[in-house]
Amino acid sequence: MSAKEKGLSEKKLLLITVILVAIIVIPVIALLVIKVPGLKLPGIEKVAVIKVTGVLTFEEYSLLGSTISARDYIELIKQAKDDPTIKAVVLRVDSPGGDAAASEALYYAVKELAEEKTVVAYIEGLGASGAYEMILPSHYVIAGESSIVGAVGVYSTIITMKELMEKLGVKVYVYKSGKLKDLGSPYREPTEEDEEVLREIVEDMFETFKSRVLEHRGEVSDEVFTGRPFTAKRALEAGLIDQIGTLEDAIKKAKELSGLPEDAPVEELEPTPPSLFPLFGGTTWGIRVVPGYQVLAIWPPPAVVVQG
Amino acid sequence: MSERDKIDGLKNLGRGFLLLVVASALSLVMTLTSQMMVGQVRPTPTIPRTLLVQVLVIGFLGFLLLILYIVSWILRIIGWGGICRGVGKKFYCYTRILLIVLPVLGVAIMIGAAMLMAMEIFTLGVPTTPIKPKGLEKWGGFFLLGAVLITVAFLVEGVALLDSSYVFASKLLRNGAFLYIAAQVFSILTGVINQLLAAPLEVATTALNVAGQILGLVSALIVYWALRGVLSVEREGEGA
Repeated sequence: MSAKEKGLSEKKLLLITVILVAIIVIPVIALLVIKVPGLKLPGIEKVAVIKVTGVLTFEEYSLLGSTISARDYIELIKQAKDDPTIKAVVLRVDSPGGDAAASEALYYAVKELAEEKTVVAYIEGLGASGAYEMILPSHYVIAGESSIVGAVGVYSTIITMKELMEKLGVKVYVYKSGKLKDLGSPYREPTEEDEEVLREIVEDMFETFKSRVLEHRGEVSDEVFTGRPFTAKRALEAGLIDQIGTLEDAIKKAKELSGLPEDAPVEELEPTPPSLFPLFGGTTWGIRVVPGYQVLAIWPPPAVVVQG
Repeated sequence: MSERDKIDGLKNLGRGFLLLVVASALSLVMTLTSQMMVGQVRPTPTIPRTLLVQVLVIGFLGFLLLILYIVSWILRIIGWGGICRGVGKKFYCYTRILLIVLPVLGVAIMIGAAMLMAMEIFTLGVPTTPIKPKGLEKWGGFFLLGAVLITVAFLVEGVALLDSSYVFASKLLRNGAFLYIAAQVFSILTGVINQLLAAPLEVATTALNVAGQILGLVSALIVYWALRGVLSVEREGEGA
């Protein structure tokens, strides 16, 4: 018998190899499957951190500048809510707020999340106005020592350019179905009736905001509703936050409240980076129509924004 | 088919496994030393000098380890080439080809992943918080893929060793081949467990790594020993 014939047949060798390769490939594929949210394994429960920065608005490019859309943040909050491996969420906020509608939508998203999971808010820099409204349903609020919190309230600004247009010789004719249909128009001065309606809108929205603050924070200082911003120390005294601390403190608190071990992993959920295509497609450079009137929940008030 | 090729092949394969034994032993010593050094606080004034010496020693040993692994790999490729020609079995020729292609591909994927990960870290900035950004996790998968390709090559080599234990009628080589295959499977399963388990079980994963390295060392030692025996028998046969 030759040496060649002594060993195993080529077919047997191939079979053994395939079986062995399967033994190592199957666990790797299983690992990839397990990593997909939806499957729960012991030892991988974690804390998710969602960083919310900039102006809160539904527009990616708005009167308030270029921002990540509030929709992206809502999507991340939903992702955290649906991922069974995420036991607690830390909202890492550095935002002056934004428009009332976006802030409200984020508030409801956080409220839904807080019904199912532990939510700890950490204010890092600014947690003002609409951003503060957003984090209200959190189970615990921590602010960095140098942060600014509060500015609870809403306002609206109307810029009129009637006189400027007259100087330029531009005349604007408006045909309207009712006297208040062009309320907030920049082409005329607001009437007393306009002002009354606008005040009503601002007050109604403020009442909603105020009721939410009272619902989630309980007893707070009356000064809170003057719209003033607070330093972290004064915000603690006013009842707007629960603790002054660091991001590490917020993560630790989230683990403690959710019953996770101290060394449980922490993962940052990030929005999809904006595409570069609009830069080349002309969207950024085109004429953009922006609303002349918005109810804002933002502090400090934005400066005049000129967009190209 | 030539007896000379077969003997040269066995000789190179034996040398390759001898270097693998040395490399595995060095790697094990380095792992155990690094584990013992973890948590040891040194007095502040001596840190820069100690650190420099440590970096130099680790760098030198790491480089030596790399060279040992590469030379061992090359010798084994040459060895399987000789056995392929000497025994005339296609499987050994395929082993040689896979032993060249898969590790090269695996290392290329790992280097590519490391470069892309470095670029991503560069873009994200130096992390100052205990947060692990999600984006980085996918690179771990690429490392695992690279490791799988390399392991598949060594598994095929293990099967070839198993077959040669029948060809050369060596029970010791058979045992060594089984252990070598087990070491490869164990190493990739350890990788999977490392990816799955979180920090609480770090001690357990280190223990698994060390166990895997010991298994690899023992299997390489037995294979080397067995190949020495096979070689002397074959030489006697050639002389007769």
